[in-house]
Amino acid sequence: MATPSSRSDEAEPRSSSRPRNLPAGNGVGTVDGAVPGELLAACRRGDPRALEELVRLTQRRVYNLALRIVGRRHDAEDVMQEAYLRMFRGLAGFREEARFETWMHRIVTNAALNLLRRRGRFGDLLADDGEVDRPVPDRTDVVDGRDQLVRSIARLPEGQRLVLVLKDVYGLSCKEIGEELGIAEGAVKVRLHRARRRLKDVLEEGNGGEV
Amino acid sequence: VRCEEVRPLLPAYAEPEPRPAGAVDLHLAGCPSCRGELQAYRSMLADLAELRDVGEDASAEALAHAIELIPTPGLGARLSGSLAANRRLYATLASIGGAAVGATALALAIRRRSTRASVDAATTAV
Repeated sequence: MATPSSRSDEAEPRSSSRPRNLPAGNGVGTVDGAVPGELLAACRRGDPRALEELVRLTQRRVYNLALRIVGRRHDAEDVMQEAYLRMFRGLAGFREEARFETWMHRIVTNAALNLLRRRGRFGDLLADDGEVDRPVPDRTDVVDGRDQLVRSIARLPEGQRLVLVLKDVYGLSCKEIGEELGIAEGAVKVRLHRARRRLKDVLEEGNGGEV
Repeated sequence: VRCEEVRPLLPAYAEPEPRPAGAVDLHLAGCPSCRGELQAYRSMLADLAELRDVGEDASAEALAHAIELIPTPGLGARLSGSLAANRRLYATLASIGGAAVGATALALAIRRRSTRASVDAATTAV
């Protein structure tokens, strides 16, 4: 399990209402975070301006997915660089019929898991049950009442939390998650099932029995 | 089907995917408690999906580094761009070339046949 850390770059949401170091408008540029088809086509042709636009459009999602997996801002930024490098190399071969966002999420996930493997922290993510010794964030700047949900997710065991985040937040399939984690699809489904039940219980506890 | 059998299925059942109506649906139609449980899971999944675009932006430094990684078009890319721009011209030239090769082959075949006919005629005459 991850050990508690006092590092200032330890995960968990700091802001969503206001960009940290960027002017307003540099976040996800479309309502649903989708990348327009024309932009994607220009990126596949290697147009540098289109690629820059793609980075600006997707950076928040890429960075936060990385952060939710690796847990530290500095590591998440390393993952972000690696993920974009892979995206630039792979875009020409990207099949239009595949959903770009899912492809992107998978690249980020793979880069994040590789970083954890290099750092010897990958085993943390395979813990399917037991107590959580990761610090649960006591304060988030996530607005719109989502802070309770974020804190409840943080209370899940690592193996359940990761599967839930990849499936229910970022839309990877159980098969894709299993391939990334090196576990069977059935095992992913079991973890997902446990994670949803546990998360609902935690949310209900926080709401005095009401979700 | 009883509530105890249905409840464990609800976390997966909450996913919005088409499935044939079965015993679980029949139970849900007549059980407000299980319907409420299912609705709670669906609501939770909807909230989770919304987290996708929630969070902080990457730092300006990280964003700048990512942009620096964008490959500049090299000779190969420029050449391929030029080729793409002249794709129609090359297609036309290829068509003309193909037609020329075909016509030459046809002419050779006709000539060979007429030569053979002449030889046969000469042999018969002899």
